[in-house]
Amino acid sequence: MIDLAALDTAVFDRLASDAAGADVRAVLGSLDRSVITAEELRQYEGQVTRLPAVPLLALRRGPAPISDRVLWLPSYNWYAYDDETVTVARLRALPALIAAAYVSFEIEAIGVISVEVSTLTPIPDRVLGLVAQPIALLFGAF
Amino acid sequence: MADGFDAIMQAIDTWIAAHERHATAGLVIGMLQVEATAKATDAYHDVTGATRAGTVGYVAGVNEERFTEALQAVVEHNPLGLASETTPPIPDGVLVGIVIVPTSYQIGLEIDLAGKRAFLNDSLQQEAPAVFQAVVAALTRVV
Repeated sequence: MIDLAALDTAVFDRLASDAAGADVRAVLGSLDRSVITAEELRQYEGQVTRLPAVPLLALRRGPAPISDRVLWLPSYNWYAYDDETVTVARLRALPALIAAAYVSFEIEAIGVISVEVSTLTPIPDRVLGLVAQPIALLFGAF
Repeated sequence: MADGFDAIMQAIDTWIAAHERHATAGLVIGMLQVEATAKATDAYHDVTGATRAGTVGYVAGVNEERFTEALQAVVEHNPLGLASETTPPIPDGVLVGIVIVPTSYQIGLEIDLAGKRAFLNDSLQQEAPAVFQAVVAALTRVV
């Protein structure tokens, strides 16, 4: 079993504070304060105006199944959010920047052999009244 | 000579068809596993029963009657929630497994509040290795 808690932290910190994520933070509304967890984002339900400035990113951990007895496939989604009234151009720029941030992703105690990044078209989040774009990360790790 | 060549080509066609048949059977089994995981979720509170009853995993062009059954299940549980869109067109020559709930609000469950009630994509991610293994296991039975 890989240390998922350590991976959670490393995946989050990559964009929140690591140098490799600086280009991502540069296009966010409030730099590192606009990088939060999904759990934190949900605390703003009904009080959206108190959210960190958009564009912002919220990290949600997905399943981590095992394949072939050794290789784990942990998955994450960065939900990128922006204002509905602005163009989605800012959101569309994020997947490539995020993919670049996870190139050469290495952490202690976990061997990461691959990181695949994929994304969907921006979609309205009807609860928050913002546009969301899920950006999926799929790791191959042992 | 031509007869020999034709016989070889026919044998290859038969061999390919057998692999396609077995891979399809494996994917059907795999998508049933995805569906079972998706139906077992506790990620959302099912008010009408439409989401759980309408959750279906199937293979495009193979057992699509299961999608029709899912549509019917949504109509029975929550007719106003039936999705207006149909499933996307599938290109020829590609084997595609689909897990879906044909309600108008499923996309909201997957997206709203950073996927607070999401479960379809999670189920697919969780069972992806099992789906792969089901296809491989079926292919090993080709003789």
